[in-house]
Amino acid sequence: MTVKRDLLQTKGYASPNTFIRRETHLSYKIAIVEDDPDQRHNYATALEKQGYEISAYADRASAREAMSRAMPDLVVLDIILGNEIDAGFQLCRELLAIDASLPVLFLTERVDEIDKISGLRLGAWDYQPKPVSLGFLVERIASLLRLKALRDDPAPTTRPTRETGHLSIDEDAMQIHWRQQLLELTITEFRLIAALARRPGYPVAYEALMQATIQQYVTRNTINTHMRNIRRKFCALDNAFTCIGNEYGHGYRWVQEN
Amino acid sequence: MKIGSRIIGPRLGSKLLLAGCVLLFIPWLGLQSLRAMQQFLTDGQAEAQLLTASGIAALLHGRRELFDDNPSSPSQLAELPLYPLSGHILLDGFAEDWQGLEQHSQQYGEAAGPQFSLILGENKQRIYGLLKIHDTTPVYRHPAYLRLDHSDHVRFYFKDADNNEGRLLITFEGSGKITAYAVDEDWRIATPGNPDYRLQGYVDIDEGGYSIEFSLPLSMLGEQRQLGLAVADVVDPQQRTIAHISRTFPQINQGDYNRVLIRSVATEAIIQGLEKEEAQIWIFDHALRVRAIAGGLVDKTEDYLNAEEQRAIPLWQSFIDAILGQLVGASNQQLKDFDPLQTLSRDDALLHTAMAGLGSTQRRTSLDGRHEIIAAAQPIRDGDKVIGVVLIEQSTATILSLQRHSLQHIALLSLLSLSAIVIVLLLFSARLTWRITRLGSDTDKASDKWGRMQQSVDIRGTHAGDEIGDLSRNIEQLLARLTRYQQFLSAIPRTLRHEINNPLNTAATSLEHLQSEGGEKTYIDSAQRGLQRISAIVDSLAEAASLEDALNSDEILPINLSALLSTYVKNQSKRCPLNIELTTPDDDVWIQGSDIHIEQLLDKLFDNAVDFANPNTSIEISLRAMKNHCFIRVKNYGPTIAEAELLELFQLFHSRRNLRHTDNGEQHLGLGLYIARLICERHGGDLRVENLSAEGAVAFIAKLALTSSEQK
Repeated sequence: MTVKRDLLQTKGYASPNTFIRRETHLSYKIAIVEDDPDQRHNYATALEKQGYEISAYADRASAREAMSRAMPDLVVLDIILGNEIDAGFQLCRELLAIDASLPVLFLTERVDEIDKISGLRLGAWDYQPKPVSLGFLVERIASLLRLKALRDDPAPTTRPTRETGHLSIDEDAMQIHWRQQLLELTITEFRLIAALARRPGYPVAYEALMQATIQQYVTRNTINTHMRNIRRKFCALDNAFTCIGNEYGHGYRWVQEN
Repeated sequence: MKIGSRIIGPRLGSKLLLAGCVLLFIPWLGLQSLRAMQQFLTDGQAEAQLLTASGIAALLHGRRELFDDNPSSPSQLAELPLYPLSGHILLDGFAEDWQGLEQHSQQYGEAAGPQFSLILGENKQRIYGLLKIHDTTPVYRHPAYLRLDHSDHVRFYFKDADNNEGRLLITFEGSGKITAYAVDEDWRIATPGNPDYRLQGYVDIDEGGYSIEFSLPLSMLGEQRQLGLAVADVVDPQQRTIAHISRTFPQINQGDYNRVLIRSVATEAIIQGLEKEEAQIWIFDHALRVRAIAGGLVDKTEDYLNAEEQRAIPLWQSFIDAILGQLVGASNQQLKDFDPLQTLSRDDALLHTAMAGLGSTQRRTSLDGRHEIIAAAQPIRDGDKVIGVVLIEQSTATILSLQRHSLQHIALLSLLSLSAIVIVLLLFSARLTWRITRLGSDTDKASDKWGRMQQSVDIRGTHAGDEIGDLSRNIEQLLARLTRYQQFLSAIPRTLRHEINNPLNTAATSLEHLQSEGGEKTYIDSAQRGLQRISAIVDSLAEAASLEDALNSDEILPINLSALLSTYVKNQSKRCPLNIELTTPDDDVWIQGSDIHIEQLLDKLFDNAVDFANPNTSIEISLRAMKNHCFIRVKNYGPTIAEAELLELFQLFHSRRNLRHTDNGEQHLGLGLYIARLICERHGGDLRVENLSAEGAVAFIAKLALTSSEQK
């Protein structure tokens, strides 16, 4: 039943409307490391249509060699490359050693929680399990590049930060502060908190939260896992954090502080 | 023992004990060899007795004079038998101390005269006598008369050591001690006037007459040992004349009296030195009259001591005696083989054989019937003529007591060794049984009731070097292999998901390109749906496979189950077409657990209930708390579950729904109730289902452990 509901709700995110041609980003160079030629080709084609300059590699050695000569603006990494099961992690480590501010997006079939945590700990900006929709990929890459631009060259924000109690959400920088402290969040986590805090006190259904992730196949379990991770991150900053409440049988809600 | 409907054989311990019963042959074999030994020993004893008898016979060889009757006695009168008395006789006129001998008294007297009976015995060189006179009108001595024959009286005739005639007269004035006087030839006046105290006695008078018990030294009689008795009866107390006289010898005699028959002193003196304990030596003459006896088969120990000892014997001792007596034929009782009648003559077949010139042995039971006696007889010869017989009788008591001791020894040793063996066997079997039972329970614990291997399998007793140790090791290896295989199996869905995600991604991204390039929308959409379904299946499988890890890694927090359930039902009511009724107790119910998984559990149960509910019925959810557990009951009105399906219901990949039943795009892999069960078990309870056929309903009951007092 859960599965059924999830499937129904995620249908919309595979719609072609999300995969539209945007304004070109000629200045951005994106490297794709993926051993499967079909997927590599599909990614490259989709991103080239967005106007990015794409260089695609099939294995760690060639990618490492080419990128050490000219660093791209963003890297999309698969973790298993050929026979090397941890090639993506290794490459990520090597690239970040060269340029610590390089946005790395893991796009992998390794969907276990432990792999995700390992990837993010290495310093990757985001971690996306396969299968992924190209629309989502384009959107996600755009966000990361925008974020990178903002961080490289802080400009006056176009949108004001939203304040809800001690929570402040910077939509442009995709940053969230809790009691003036910055939370280290993935983009999905940022989106979930933003969706919750949009109407504080009101329950947000699982379906809405699934939409907020703009991922292709999302289950309630995925949402629950995200929520648990988010709570842990808040609690790491503030032991007394209780603002995310379960709405059993429905979803979650942002509980306003007294 | 019965297990289910199957009857199984005895347990290991019982079998070992049964096998141990073979050990009971050991005491039996011991007993058999003892019996053989007894036979051997008694044969040996008989031989020895025969040899001894030959020796004695040789000693008496040719001693004709010892067996001849006194040649100087021409008397043809009846002999007075003199029975050897085993005990002292108290002179009191009563027959009790005569040991039944009085029944063998000889009767004297004719119809006219006084009738009397007489028995004579000998003990310690004294002659004892019991005289019973039938006289209803006794006439007592009158103290005024000097003459002694004016009252009833008894006359003693004898020949003294000098072969002179002696006369003693007993008269009395009533019951009491008697006085004997030597009298003149006419039996009238006491010659010295003083009583003769060598003859002592006592008279007892009753209605039938009077009895006199008397004693006199054997030495009073001379070599010829002649003794005669006469009873004179005075009838008229006025006239006081003698009416009749009855005698033990004929009235007309030539100064000869009855000869007292006594064993040969000379012969007895010879064999006295050969006396043996518990053995009796008899010498018979050619008429098989006893000439001499030495020793005796009567225990010489004083009865007083024996009685004391017997009183002191505890009950168990007499019980053991009884058993041993049965086994060996021996008795701890004192031997009594004394028949006074036999002390004069015997008539055994053995003796006749010996008289015919053949030495032989014989066994017989003692007269008290409790002992076995071996008798050996040898003829005594004088030239070619057999003049007598030597008979040696000895009880087998010595051998039997030897055997008895051996048997006691064997019995004790057997008992001790048997007990030790039985104890060792019992301990051993208990240990074996315990090890096997432990192995069984360890093996049993290795998997849960659903057949899934436990995380940590601990088989104990794998260090033992014996077969059970081998078995333990084999089982441990087997379980380890099973665990590895199970790990492999449970890893399959995850591996599958990893592997399938790549082609899925290829297909999905390619479809998107097709879509953006204006492909046929209908086909693209249906391909998309297919991909989504594959993705969902793979996700569900992986979720089920990794659920346990997820459950174990979850944070365990106190949950207010009542509040959670209320919220859940409130939220579900908004979207569910059916009516939901919730019953919760007044007090909050708290459990320790993961709220997300409790929510997942409720989802599974609720979805299941909704799917099988008849239209326009309500779903009834209730929460009930008991002492240690609470129960969430989800009931829907709809088709009941087939009995055969009940057991399978909570297994992986079991679905009540038709797998192809996908008209609304649903996919049922039979994971829901399996996951629900795992969640219940993780929360210290279980999940079960009840068919409520009467109401046409099905209820699923999730049991969860309450927060215990210490957790609070």
